[in-house]
Amino acid sequence: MRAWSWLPFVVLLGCAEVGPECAPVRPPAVTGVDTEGGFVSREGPVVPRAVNSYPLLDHAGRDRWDDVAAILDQAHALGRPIIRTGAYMTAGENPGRLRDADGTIHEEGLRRLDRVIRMAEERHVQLLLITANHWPNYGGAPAVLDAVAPGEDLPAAAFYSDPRAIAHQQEFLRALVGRTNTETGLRYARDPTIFAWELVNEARCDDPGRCDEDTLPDWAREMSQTIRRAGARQPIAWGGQGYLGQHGEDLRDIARVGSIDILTVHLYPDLAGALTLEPGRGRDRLLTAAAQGRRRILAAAEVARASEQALLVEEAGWRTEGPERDAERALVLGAWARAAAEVGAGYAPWMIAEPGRPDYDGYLIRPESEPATARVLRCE
Amino acid sequence: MIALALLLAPSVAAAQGGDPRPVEPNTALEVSLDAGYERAGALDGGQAGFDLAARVALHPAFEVGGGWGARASWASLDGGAGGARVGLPPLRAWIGTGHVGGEWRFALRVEGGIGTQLLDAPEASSNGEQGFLTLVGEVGVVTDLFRPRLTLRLGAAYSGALAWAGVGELRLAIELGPASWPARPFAAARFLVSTDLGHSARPVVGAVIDIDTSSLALAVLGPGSATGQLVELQLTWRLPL
Repeated sequence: MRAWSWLPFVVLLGCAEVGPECAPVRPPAVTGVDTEGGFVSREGPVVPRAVNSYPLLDHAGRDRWDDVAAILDQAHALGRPIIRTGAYMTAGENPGRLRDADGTIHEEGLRRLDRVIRMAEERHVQLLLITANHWPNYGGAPAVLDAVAPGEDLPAAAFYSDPRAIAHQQEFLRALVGRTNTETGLRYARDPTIFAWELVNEARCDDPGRCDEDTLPDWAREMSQTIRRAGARQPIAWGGQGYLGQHGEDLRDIARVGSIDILTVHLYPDLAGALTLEPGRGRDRLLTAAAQGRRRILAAAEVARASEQALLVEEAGWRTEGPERDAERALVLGAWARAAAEVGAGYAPWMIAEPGRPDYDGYLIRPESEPATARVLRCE
Repeated sequence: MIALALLLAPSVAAAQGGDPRPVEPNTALEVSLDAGYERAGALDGGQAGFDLAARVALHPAFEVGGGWGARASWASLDGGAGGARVGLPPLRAWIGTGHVGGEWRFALRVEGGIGTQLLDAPEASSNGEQGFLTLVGEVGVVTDLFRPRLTLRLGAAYSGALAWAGVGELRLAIELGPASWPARPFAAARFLVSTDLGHSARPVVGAVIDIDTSSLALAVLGPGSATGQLVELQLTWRLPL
């Protein structure tokens, strides 16, 4: 029992309203990006309504097909029939891994991915497949580097600069994009269930010995051209956080690569505006997060508009604790959704998962018990 | 009647640059209230705060102080979710030094704050920071007809797992009118740059009013482009001890 556990009940005199319910949204499938940077469907222009859920392949590897189905069904029910998820699991023991520790393609994992794609198709859900991860989750860039340079203990920046890592990732992309789904018979490269291919999740290149301002754009050009040459008809998304000159990423340089269709932004303002008033006063975190996220979305939209590329706000997360969790998250995610809609950008909150999943990091959205956030996902 | 009382009130000439607090070390109690309205896209919101601070000049060149308060806020998405809450900003303390040389005033303060994690109640925090540290430097000039003041603030805050934020602020203010006037107007400009919100500027106008030995400052802050703030009122009452 915490000594001050009574304090929130005295201090947090919070109240919240969910907002009116909306008619169910059933957006058409996104078929591509036009030459002016607009998303299109068979019915005309469309703004992607997406949501994140990274564990699909993890569940598939563990034969938890009910959980895969539950996530797909949840996305559909929320009117967000695009799920952004990983297709890069490397090494480890999960049968869903797509590469072994030595870098060889793991056919069993690809077969499980085949089934995930078929299940998505059956539920009219599209998948945004992320093909690499900067971070070590599910292997990520470190596992690839271990595979191509065992024992060298290369830093993450080598993933974007070491010729062996670049060649290996290109080989993986060719195998993935060129695959024919054993469950549907469709080539991945032409499968409309695959909404887009994403180059990497949250690329960073901070190592001055390995990175300069051209490193990430050059890498992005190599990878996107590899995907295109492998026959992909789907759009190609960047996957970075959308920095304008931080951590080796400048979205303006990525926009100039030329072979990327979708620029991306990630929003996690865990600390926003804490000091923008007099010391000690701080600002209300919700209002500041809403303002900060909106500024970043508008700035990225300016880059996208100038380069005639599409924009996807593809990770939007708000972490909070306490009894106001649902209301706070609904306000922040709702405000960002409106900002994305202002500029015609797609929007993907972080994240949903199977019912009963523990909230490991404070970002998990549970629509069944969080009515205000669920309403934002359905209605915004 | 009130106007007459104000005209008859003796000036203490403590306020400088529209701030009832002198630049140099001093001893006083201060009560601050603020309220503002803002709009960021489709989100309307407002916040109000209360702060109580005490400062003691242990020596003409040395000051210690501390303060705490509470903040309330509301936000509403057009046709969507809405909510209100009350939270606690960090408990803060500072040490400072200063010097008076003729008409010139100088001060340097280091201020630190600890969030509600101290109370094992992180969810009660008004904005999520676990702690902050700022360095404030001030220069003022006191003449009978005008009192300019320049404040530079550099700070950083920490929120735990993921985030640091940094801020720099330059406040340039001038208070006009003979010190004997019981009510004196001032104008100021605040230039801010922060790691999370970029840069912005805010205009400020207001008046300092002497009431007996205490000073009251009423400030109206204009739009803050970085945050969507449209208007804010601040009231600071300083009671010298």
